[in-house]
Amino acid sequence: MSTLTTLRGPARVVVRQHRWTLWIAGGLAALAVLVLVAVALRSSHVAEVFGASGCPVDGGAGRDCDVTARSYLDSMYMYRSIFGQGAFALTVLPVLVGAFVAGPLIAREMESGTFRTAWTQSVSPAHWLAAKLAVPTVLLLAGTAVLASALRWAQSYSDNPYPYEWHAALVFAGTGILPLVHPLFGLAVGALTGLLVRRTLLALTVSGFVTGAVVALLSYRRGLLWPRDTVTGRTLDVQENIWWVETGHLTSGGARLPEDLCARSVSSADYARCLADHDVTGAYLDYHPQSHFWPLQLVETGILLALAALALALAFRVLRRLHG
Amino acid sequence: MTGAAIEANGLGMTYGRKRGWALRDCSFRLPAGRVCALVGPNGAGKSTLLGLAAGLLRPTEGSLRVLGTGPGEARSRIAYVSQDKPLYPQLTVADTLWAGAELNPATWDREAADRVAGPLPQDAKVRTLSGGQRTRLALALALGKRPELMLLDEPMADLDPLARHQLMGILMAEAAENATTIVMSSHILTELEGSCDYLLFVDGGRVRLGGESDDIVAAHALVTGQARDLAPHTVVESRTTGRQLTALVRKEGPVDPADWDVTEPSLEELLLAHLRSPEAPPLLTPSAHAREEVAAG
Repeated sequence: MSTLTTLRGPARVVVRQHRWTLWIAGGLAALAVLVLVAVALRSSHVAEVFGASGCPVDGGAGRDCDVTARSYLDSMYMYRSIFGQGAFALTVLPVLVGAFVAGPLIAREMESGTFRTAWTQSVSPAHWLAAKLAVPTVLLLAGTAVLASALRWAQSYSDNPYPYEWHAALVFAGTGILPLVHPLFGLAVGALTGLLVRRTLLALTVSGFVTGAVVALLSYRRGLLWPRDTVTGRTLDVQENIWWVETGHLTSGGARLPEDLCARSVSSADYARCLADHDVTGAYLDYHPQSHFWPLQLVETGILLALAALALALAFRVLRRLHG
Repeated sequence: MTGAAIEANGLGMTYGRKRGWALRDCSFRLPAGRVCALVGPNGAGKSTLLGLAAGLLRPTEGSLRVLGTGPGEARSRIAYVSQDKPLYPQLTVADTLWAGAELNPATWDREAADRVAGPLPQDAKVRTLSGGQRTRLALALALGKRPELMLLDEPMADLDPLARHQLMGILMAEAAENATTIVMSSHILTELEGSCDYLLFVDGGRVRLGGESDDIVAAHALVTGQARDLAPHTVVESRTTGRQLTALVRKEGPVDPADWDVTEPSLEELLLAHLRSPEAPPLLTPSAHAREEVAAG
């Protein structure tokens, strides 16, 4: 008998137990897709109308045109912020997943004792846990794939003059394959926390916090995940569309000094003297060109999947050690 | 020789270093096909023993064989009803039985489950059921599994006398028809007296009496007479009033009826005497002795 068949019964029970949560999550996802489509259509319509008006975006063509351009740009800025919120929702989704899996899905069974009923049917604890995790895994992969694609489509369709840059912290985790990987990490953290903490509220909090901390740390340190390219020189000659990770002054000996070294100078003469005092002869920039998008995505994916695998291995080990 | 439903060898369980032993050095054997009362005071280790047999806990030391194999491997052949009858509160009665069928696809017997769950409102959520109704549903789930061994932890605690009688009837019929082994625990020593033919008396984490109820009772005598030495019999408990001695003894050969007024103790008297005398040696009848070579595997 394959594992798939042995998981079918318990998986169906998991779906039945949590059907309201699933309905609500599915409803919210459908609503989000609808909103994205509506905003994209509206946005491209507004852009079309503005294009037809013949007014320049940067004004200077009379008062009426300025008003038209202003209202066009205001609308576009608002649509952009809606897309930003959508991307942010994808970024915090793993935290919610971690909290849900740890609390209502697993710790509640341990706290209320229903695990005793579940494990004394013909399903071993390991199969029980596998089924509990398989259901949200499949649904999350499908759901986030749809949401991330909808978001990407909406942004490209909306003809927005303020697109997010590829490296923006807000959107990076919502593009590429990371929107699929982050929730899986939350799921694995949730599984381990739920089994260890065994109190619904506490497990929910701890797991959400741990997942959030790791995701935030990665987002904060993402620039270090792949070797950066560097340019140096008296003036920096940079390409378009790159991610400025770190920039600063360079001395004649090649030492790096912080960018705000002379920030307290009161005049440009003072500033020049300050630079000269520190032997500053140029500047440097560490950056990621857009070609680093996939390496960065894949390194982050690797880290998160390794951590997730570790958490899952520990979770099954805890189950086996305590309960045979 | 019939097989053993449960066989324990040097079984011990602790929930943490500081909390002491819930069960220690337990060796016994429960032959298959028996209806066994697992009795003992609160905190004696009854629930721990049942949890170990159900494969919910892993023993700290010693070994435990259930239906000839490890508790985990015997999972599909065991039914277990825990003391607080934990069922999913958000599911309905019908959902719960459906889940039983989904989780026990190989053995599920819908009729057996419905026989017990019949009087319950099918569309009621489990959280709205009374304690007695929940017990009924938990037993329906257990019986629907068609187990070879039923482990019931305080199954009758929150039932009214009528429901208790009815459910006990269903359990006894199950045991009689399918030769199901049933282990029922109770801290009320005599609650299960009429229904069970086997006895395990647990106290302080140890098995103190084990075997056929009749044999255990018959191995003891309540004697009254002039105070004097009772050797070679083992005195479980004795009380002297003036020159009169009343004692509960474990017989080593016949008690001389010329010297003593001998009666057979009731099960309750027997258990109470053992409770009051923790130093009395344990007694296992031959069928309740663990067989080393079987348990070694």
